[in-house]
Amino acid sequence: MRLPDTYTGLAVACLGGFVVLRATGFPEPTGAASPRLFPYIIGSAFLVLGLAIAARSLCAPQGRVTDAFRPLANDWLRRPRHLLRVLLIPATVVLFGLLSPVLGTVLVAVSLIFLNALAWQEKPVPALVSSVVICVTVTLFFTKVMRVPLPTGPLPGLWF
Amino acid sequence: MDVFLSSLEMVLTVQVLGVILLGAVFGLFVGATPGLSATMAVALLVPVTFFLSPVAAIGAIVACSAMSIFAGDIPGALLRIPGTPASAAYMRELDALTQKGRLDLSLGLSMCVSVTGGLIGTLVLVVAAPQLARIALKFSSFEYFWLALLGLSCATMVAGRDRLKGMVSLLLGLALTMVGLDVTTGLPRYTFGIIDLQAGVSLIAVMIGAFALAEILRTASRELSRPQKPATAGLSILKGQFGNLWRFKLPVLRGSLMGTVIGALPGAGADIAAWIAFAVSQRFSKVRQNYGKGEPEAIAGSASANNAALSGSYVPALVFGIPGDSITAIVVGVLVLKGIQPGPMVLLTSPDLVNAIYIVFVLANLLIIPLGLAAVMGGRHVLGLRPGLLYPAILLMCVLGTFATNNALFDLWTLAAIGVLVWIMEANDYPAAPMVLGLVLGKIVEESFMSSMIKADGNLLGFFERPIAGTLGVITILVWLVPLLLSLRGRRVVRSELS
Repeated sequence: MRLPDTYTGLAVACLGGFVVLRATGFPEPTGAASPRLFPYIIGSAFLVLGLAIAARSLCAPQGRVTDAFRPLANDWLRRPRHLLRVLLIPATVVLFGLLSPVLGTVLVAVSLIFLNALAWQEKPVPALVSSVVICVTVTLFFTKVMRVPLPTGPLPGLWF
Repeated sequence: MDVFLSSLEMVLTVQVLGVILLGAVFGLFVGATPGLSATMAVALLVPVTFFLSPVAAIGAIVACSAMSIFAGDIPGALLRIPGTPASAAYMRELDALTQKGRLDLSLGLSMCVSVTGGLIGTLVLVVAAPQLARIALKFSSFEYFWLALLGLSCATMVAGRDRLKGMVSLLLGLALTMVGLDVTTGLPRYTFGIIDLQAGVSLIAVMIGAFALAEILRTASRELSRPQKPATAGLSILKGQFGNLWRFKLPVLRGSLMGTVIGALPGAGADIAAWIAFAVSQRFSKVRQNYGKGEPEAIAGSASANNAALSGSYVPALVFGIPGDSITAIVVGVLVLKGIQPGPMVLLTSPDLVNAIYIVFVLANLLIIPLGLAAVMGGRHVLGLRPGLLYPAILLMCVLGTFATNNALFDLWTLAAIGVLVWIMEANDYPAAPMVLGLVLGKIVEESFMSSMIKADGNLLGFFERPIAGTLGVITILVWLVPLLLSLRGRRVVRSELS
């Protein structure tokens, strides 16, 4: 989604304010090497640049003043299928993190990759076959070749 | 000679050669797939390199990036879609030649000049790196502070259309380095009581999030298109290429040298090198009217530049530890994770490692011919791959690769957060590359700044007292001020014209 620079600029300025405020709570030993110094510089720079971006957006010659405040919705936001495809991507990462310790890598990965393949307009049977092949191959590579201890869940360790 | 033999021994092992080959094949696949970039290929490779020796890790990254930059030409010639941004500059020429029925010439020439450009770039790296390292040995924390800041400033200037937004992205990277224990006092900062944040934000999770997950999100938000299976080419692409190389020796040499120099500049990577080399080649061409209509000279001049730029970008990364682009930022990050701090001392203390990197560069570039040939012959299968098979597989590699580096589920939250953040940032013209450069260089900037502050007893003028530090400081300030002054002057001229 395309947000007006007024909003993104103000968000950056707020972040700068937060960085500076939080830094004021750091303990300060005597001498030049204060742990507050670098955060103060970065936070202040955020504040100045954020306000500059917001001010530039407000001062820019536009058709209407409201343009500086109105977000532009992209097509994917209006189409449920597109929206689902986009939302499923971060959801896959988060759900894998939450579910794989309980159910095991292969089971969770196959389910999530199958759902993703469907969302990317794959037909159910090829989606299922490809997700099983991809997940087993990639998991085997990580566990057997790279020796990464992926979460096994209820399955015995030998099977991932 | 002993050092060279020892370096050869380091490279010529089954593990290193096997990894280079696999990295090259992976780079070829990613580069030839439209929508996936060379940086994404390297980011996805990082978790694998985590388990390898430094030479094998660098070998895999160099082979992967060199191959993916060349492979970007394959869909350019077959489908008129550049595989990577580095191929966009001369895609019209590749396509026009294909339309004329000269697919063999377009792909064969781009392959041969890519190899030549990469080798010339490597030669420059071999010659220039030790000379620059001698100067760099005299550097103290003041010089390193200014050099890192200059690199970051230049990278920000050319990162996107909007400099202010580029600077915000850079600051975000620097801010992320503040999370964790403070470099000088060891006190926790911005950890919010979370133990996993005490070691800082995972660099690999950020890289994969910024360059791979955000890319998947961007593609997912667009209308899906399934590419048509294109025509195929065979061994004939090699026919007459030695003659062509000789015929276009001047554009190839010019493109390679320009590519190397541009690649060594902070922020200007392979894609900018290809565009500039294309423009210069056209400017000095006797057949400039043929540019855009399938002129082989244009391909020779610019396809050599993008591969040469890759070698050039390793000069500042290896000599100063200051990455010039996102790929070398990842390389510096990988070396640091392996306990090797790139910089002039590496050339003194580990000459065998440095020589091994040179050998890897030569090997990676030579591999372009056999593997590139195989990719050109089998390219139609890769290009016809459905998004429903490709993107979920990449997503799984992102998730498992991120987890694999620290075996920490916390890194997955970082991956999701950074992926979404960078996707939103890029949709609003905030570039991602400065953020990753900031994250890689943030520690150097803060460490050198803090130790310089201690040395100068808090006196900021101390940053300008040493000759090289003073010069670098003035250049850095000029880099900030000149565009600002030019923009103000431009506005004043417009106002006076309007009035």
